[in-house]
Amino acid sequence: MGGWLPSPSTQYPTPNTPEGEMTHTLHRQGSVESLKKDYCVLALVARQFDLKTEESKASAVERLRKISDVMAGNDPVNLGSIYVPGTYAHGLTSEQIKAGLKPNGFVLSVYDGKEKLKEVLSELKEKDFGISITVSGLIDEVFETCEEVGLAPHTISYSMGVWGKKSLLPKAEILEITSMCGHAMTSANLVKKAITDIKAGRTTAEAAAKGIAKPCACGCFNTSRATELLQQAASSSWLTAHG
Amino acid sequence: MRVDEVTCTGCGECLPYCPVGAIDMIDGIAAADQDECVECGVCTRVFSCPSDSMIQLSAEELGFPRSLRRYFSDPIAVSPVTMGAGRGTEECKTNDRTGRVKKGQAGFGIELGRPGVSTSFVDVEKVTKKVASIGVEFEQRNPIWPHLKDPGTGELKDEIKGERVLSLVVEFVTALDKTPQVMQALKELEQEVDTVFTVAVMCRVNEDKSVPVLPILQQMGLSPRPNAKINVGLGRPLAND
Repeated sequence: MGGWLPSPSTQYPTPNTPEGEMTHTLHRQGSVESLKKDYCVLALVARQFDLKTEESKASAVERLRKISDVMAGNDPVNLGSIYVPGTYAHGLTSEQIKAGLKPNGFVLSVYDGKEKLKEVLSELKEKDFGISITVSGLIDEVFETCEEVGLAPHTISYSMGVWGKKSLLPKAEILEITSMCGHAMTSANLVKKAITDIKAGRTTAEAAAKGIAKPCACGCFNTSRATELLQQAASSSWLTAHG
Repeated sequence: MRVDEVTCTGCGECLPYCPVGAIDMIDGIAAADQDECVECGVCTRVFSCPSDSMIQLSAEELGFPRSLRRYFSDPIAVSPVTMGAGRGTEECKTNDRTGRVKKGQAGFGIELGRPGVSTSFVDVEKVTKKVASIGVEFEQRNPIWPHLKDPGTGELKDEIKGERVLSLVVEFVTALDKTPQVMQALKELEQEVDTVFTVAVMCRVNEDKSVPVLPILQQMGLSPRPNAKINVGLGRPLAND
């Protein structure tokens, strides 16, 4: 696996923009049992209101940094932001990520269980930063957690799944892993290679999960869940050959 | 992306990194199929070519309309038109602040090409035209908006139709009672497009935690997946609607 961190010539944009980025943690695949270990928490500035003046931009980035502290303080699996070159999964520290946050960006974290989600939401509610927070995860569990911490869900985005020419898709076991990169930067072939390498003893599931996380630029890839899924895939016989 | 055929040693290590499988070995060296390559940049940003043979041009160097591949496929490429990165918008993620999807409405995010298949703009236009015929309201902050020749018909500008991107989100809102028409149109589109698409249906949550769009979907025999994206209402000030 090559290094993710960009060469010195790589330009990272710092736009002053009217619109926020898609992050797309919605259509993650897998069983309910597996998804119980996969919760994404996103803080996103509403650009049309929050980036009008230099003062509001400074306020936005300051609040994002404080939210980043809350997220980092609750043992995330991953943490990142699109304009920061690198994520937890790439080896960056929470301080490096925090320092790189831009007012027009976002901060995103991933947790491997409902209890951690509850702690994060409870703290975010208490500190009341005024920035929109979105949770991607099992509906029943997220609603239940909101109830427990006193939050009222405002809007829901349902996933109605994948439609169209599904014969073009890789196997479900591969999709469970690749769909954890919402921008679809992690290829099915990279996952197949990882499984083959684990089977052959050339790498471990944990190391392979970190490698597969490298194409994910925003930090929503769940390396802990990927480790489990890779281990399961390597122990099964459905992938008989790379490719 | 192009491979320097003089310096490429033919090790083939780059092949598995391409999200759309556009890199192949031809006559002992790697080559990218220029029709299939979506200029996402993964092969240069993530993979370290041992012979430094991968050449990824910037959007400006690619020139319009090929630059659209980069803007829609590389999550860190910022479009000069929308001044934003990515393939969609803030959608439900700031809906507590913006009120884009209001009470009595359903919001839709149809992402063509996802997961990991890619899409042509010809297929994108099939979707925009079909849903436009229902009378939906396209999201003007979405990066596809500037490329609509006529938002009333959903027709795209001709110059972009030869391009291909990793994925692209068509976003729109309708009155709740038009949800069955939209879902029926999407069912028909399943047979018409040469790609996959994911379907997101957004709706405000009532105070009693019920979601008005849910029984409409269920009446059509459609069940959402167990996982969703939920705006927990911490943005301030809240949108008035």
